[in-house]
Formats: sequence, structure tokens, C-alpha cells
Amino acid sequence: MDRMEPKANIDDPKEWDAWMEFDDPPATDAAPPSSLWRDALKRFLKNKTAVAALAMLVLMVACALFANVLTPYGPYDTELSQVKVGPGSGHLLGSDENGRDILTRILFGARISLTVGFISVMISTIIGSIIGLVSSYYGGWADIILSRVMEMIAAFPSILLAIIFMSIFGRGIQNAVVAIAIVSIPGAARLIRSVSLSVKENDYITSARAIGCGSARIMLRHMLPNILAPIIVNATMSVSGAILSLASLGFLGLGVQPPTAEWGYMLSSGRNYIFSASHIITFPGIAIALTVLSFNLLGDGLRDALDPRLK
Amino acid sequence: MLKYIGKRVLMAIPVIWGIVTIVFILMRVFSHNPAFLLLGQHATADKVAELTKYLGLDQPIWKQYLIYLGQLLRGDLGTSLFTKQPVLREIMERMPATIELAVFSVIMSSIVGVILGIVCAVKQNSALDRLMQVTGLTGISLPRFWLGLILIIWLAVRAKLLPVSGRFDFMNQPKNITGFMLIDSALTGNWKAFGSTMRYMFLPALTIAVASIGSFMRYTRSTMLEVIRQDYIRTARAKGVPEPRVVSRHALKNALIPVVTIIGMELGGLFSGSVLTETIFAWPGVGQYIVNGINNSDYAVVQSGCMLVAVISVFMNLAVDVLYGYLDPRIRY
Repeated sequence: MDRMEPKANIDDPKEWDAWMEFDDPPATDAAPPSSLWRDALKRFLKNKTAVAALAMLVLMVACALFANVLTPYGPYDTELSQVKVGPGSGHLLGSDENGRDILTRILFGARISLTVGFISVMISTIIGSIIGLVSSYYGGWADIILSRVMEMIAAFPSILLAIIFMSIFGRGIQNAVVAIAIVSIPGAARLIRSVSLSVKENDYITSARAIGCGSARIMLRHMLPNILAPIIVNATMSVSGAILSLASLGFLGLGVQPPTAEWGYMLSSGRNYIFSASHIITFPGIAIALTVLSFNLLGDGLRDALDPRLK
Repeated sequence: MLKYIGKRVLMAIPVIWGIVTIVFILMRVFSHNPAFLLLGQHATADKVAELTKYLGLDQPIWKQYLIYLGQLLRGDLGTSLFTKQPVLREIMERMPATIELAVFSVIMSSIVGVILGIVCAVKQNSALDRLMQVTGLTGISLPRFWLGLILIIWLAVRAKLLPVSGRFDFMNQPKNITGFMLIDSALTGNWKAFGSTMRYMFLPALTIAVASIGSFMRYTRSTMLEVIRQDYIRTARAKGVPEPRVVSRHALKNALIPVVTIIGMELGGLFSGSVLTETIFAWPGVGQYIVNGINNSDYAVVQSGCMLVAVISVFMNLAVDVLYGYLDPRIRY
């Protein structure tokens, strides 16, 4: 029986490839290294809405940072001849009941809202991650107790709990940060617990334990990186919630100390003039809505980019 | 099923105890002595001590706690320091206003939201879908208290279409039977009062609904999209069922089950009083009652009000879980 002679020496990979008519080199050699984050970035950049939201937020942060350069007025400059002036050339967005420039106060207010939003979400995300990881990793009593405590806090309407907290401990930025962080911990903890429960079942956790990794190392080095995507999405969405909460507290007179330029407080002091000068409350509200919307859109975009299955 | 419900009720007990304790600690340990507030700045030390003793606030804190728990078990939620009325009665008087507003706005927003969600899912990734997604998210992002004020400015003050705030006008007040004004006016056949009540309810309900419509829409869209990918939908299409029927009969029925839970959660949140909406529209509900209590440092009102609200939300969540298991036979406990 005639056997077909190989046309090339199969021990020489080059000849072998040529014989197999591999025009293209194997994909692993030349394709750019792909990773979860690189792919996510690619998907994110394709999402025009999310990129626009991110650009909007960058712009807002810049405006907040350079607020004192961008406007000729100060946030507390009262001008009694310029009380409740409508939007126009002198005051772009008008002036409030004390003759303060509204645009200026909105720009300075952005500092407070963004700072409180970022810091309170950072606190609640870190504490929520620890609680979620511990209760999912250890299970049993630790899980039962932590979950019940979270359930207790979550049972209060969050704004109500923040209101009680502020009315007891007094107004101020620090108290507001703590109050808003506390009410957003249960949501973060619950989410992180549920995603890490599924991650925990993976073989790589078992093998990490088999080679003698300690619990803390498994949670921080093996579980945490794998649940980072939902944590980031949740944190982004939470910033918008935090900004809304701060504005609500300010509106009820329980946020920062007046006369600090803060969006919620601006709305509450302008509320008395809705019949005569509605522009006083219109623009701070638009600022809140734009910021919150941008964070929500960004969160949506991040979710689609980081977890394409959810789309 | 009964066993599951029993287990859930038992599990709710420690949560409720925890809620009571959290509120107690916040109000009694960290708060200022309400005697100072009641007597004003110029009160003598004797007077303050006397009132403190009268209110039972001179007792050691653990004793106060036990007394409070004992009162709660007897159904005594304390007495308002300002109106001298039992808190439970005052809350019960205000509950119908809160529930009526909550139910009305949830009906409004769930109908609109579900329909829009279906449209989005059917036209997935079209320009219309994307536009509605952003619009829905905008609705969610608007601060409710601000939206309320803007609606007052445009619809009530400028266009004079609707009343600015309040729950009824004195000329058209239905006879009080259930406390639910729409039901009362319908029962007595007083359609003029019915219309007037509707007009008062519309603005606050719309304020709440704008955000809720967005979340109902997003939620319905995502569950619809999940269902549309299922095999039984492909089967239905393959056997020649017309598309509208596939959507309405085969897909919607299955997609609505999770939506029901969202309706429950939304109601639970609203029963606890949409604090800010009620404040803006001077809506005489539970949320406004608690905020007034906070402003007056009326600790009995805040303590019992918050506790009641939290307990209601625990039971609403429980009811939603049970209902979910009932509606979806795939879920077995």
C-alpha cells in the first residue's frame, strides 16, 4: 500500500506550517494581549452615551476645581442692589434672594456635592466589601448575624435614617458624609455578598486554600479581584444616590451649615420665592439632575462594558 | 409554603427587635434631653429635672429600654410631647393619606412604565429604545423634591391647572368613612369631591411617578429581553403565532412576574411615606408627620414613627417574597 509521502519535514515547524498552508501565524503570537480590562475599555469607548457622561463629569470636576477662577463673584458675595435678578448678562443664571450669583454658588456647590459623593461612597464601598466578603466566605453564624444587621439598617427608608442621624448629631459636611455612608452600606454589602458567594465556589479558591493561603489572603487576593467589576458599577451608581441624599438633607435644612453654597440648601432657601423668582430653584436643580444623570449613565456604560452578558 | 411563611415571620422577629433597639439607642442615648426643648431657654434647673422625671428620662438607660419594650408589646407607642395624643392613633389617622397617594402613584407608574418597557424590549437597540432608556434614566435622576417644586411652578402657579398643595378643599370634602378620600367620595356618590380629590392627588402622584416610571420601564425591558430569548418563545414563533400575540401572551406573562416584586418593593418604600414629596405638597401623611416630629424633637413621634415604618417595610418585603413564590411555581422553598 502506497503511503502518501509527507511533502515537508514535520519536525521543522516552519516547513510544517508551510505544508499546512498556514498563511496567518497562529493567533496567540501576534494578536495584542487581551485582558478583561482592555476588552472592557474597548467596549466602553464604543458606547457614546457613556463616554459623553464621563466627559460631562470630567468637565464638572474641572469646573468645581477651578470655580474661583471661572467666575468674578465669590459664593458669599451679597449685593443688595442685585437681589433676585433674573438670568441675564450681569449674572448668567441670575442672583438669589441675597444678591449672590447663582452660577458661582452652583460651581462652588459642585465641590461639596462631588466630595461628599465620592468620600461617602468610598467609605460605604470599603465597609460593604468587607462585610460582604466576610459573610460570604465564612457563612454560618457570621453570615446570619451580618445579614440580619444589614437587613435592620436597610429596613429604614434611607433618607429617614439619614435625617434622624443628622438631627441628632447636627449639621456639617462630616456628619453628612457619615450619615450617607451608613445608609448605603447595606446595599453594597448585599450585592458584594451575593457575587462573592458564586466566586467562592470556583476551583481556584479551593486550590488557593489547598496550597495553604490564609483566609484574609484568599478574600483579598483571590476573591476581591474577581468581584471588582460589580463593585465598581455599584459604586458609580451609588455616587448619584449619595448626591441626591445630600441635596435632600440640605433641602430639609439638615445638610451642611448655611450659608455654605450647597445645591440642596440653595433649593430650600429659594423655595420661598417660587412665585416671584423661580430661577433661584431652577438652576441648582438642573445641576443636581445633570450630575446624577451623568453618574447613572456612566454606571450603565460601565456595567455593559464590564459584564457584556448583562446587556 | 406555610412552613416557609412561618419561618420567614420568625426570622423577621430579631430584625424588628433590632430596628426597635437602633431607634431607641439613637433617640435616647445620643439625643438631647427633650425637657430642655419643651421648656425653652429660660427654664430653671428644677423645672427641667421635674419634667425629666415626669417623662421617665431620669431612669437608668437599661430600665428605660425595658419599659419601652414593655409598652411596645402592649401596643402602646407612647404619647406625642406636643399634641399629647397617642402616637399610634395619630399615625393611623395619617396612614390613609400616605397609602392612597402610594397606591395611586404606583398604579399610574406601573402601567405607563410596563408599557414603555415592552416597547423598548420589542424594539431593542433601536433609536427609540435608546432615547427612552436615556429619558427613563433622566426621570430617575431628577431630585423628587425639585421636580415637585417645578411642577408646582408650571402646572399650579403659572397654568393654574391644579391646586398647589394640600389634600382636599373644604368646600368639596367627602364624609369620612374609611379615611381614603377617593373611596369615601365614591361610596357617598359625591363625584364632585371625587374629582376635587383627584386634582389634589395628581401633582404629588406625578412627582413620585416620574422616577418610578423610569425604573419600571428599565426593569420590564430587561426581564422582557431575558424572556424573549427563551426556547418557548422560539417555539411559539416557529409554530406561526403572530408576533403581537407572542409578545402579549407568551413573553409578557412570564416577564411580569419579577415586575410584580418591584411593584411590591416600590409600594413598601412609599408606605413609609415619601418624606420629601409629602413635605413639599403639605400632604398630611406619615412622612410629613415624622419630619415634623424631628423638627419638634418629639422623640416619641420619631421613635415610634420610624419603628412602625421600618416594620411595615420588613413585612412588605416578606409579602413580596411569598407572592413571588406563589406566582412563579418554579420557585420552591
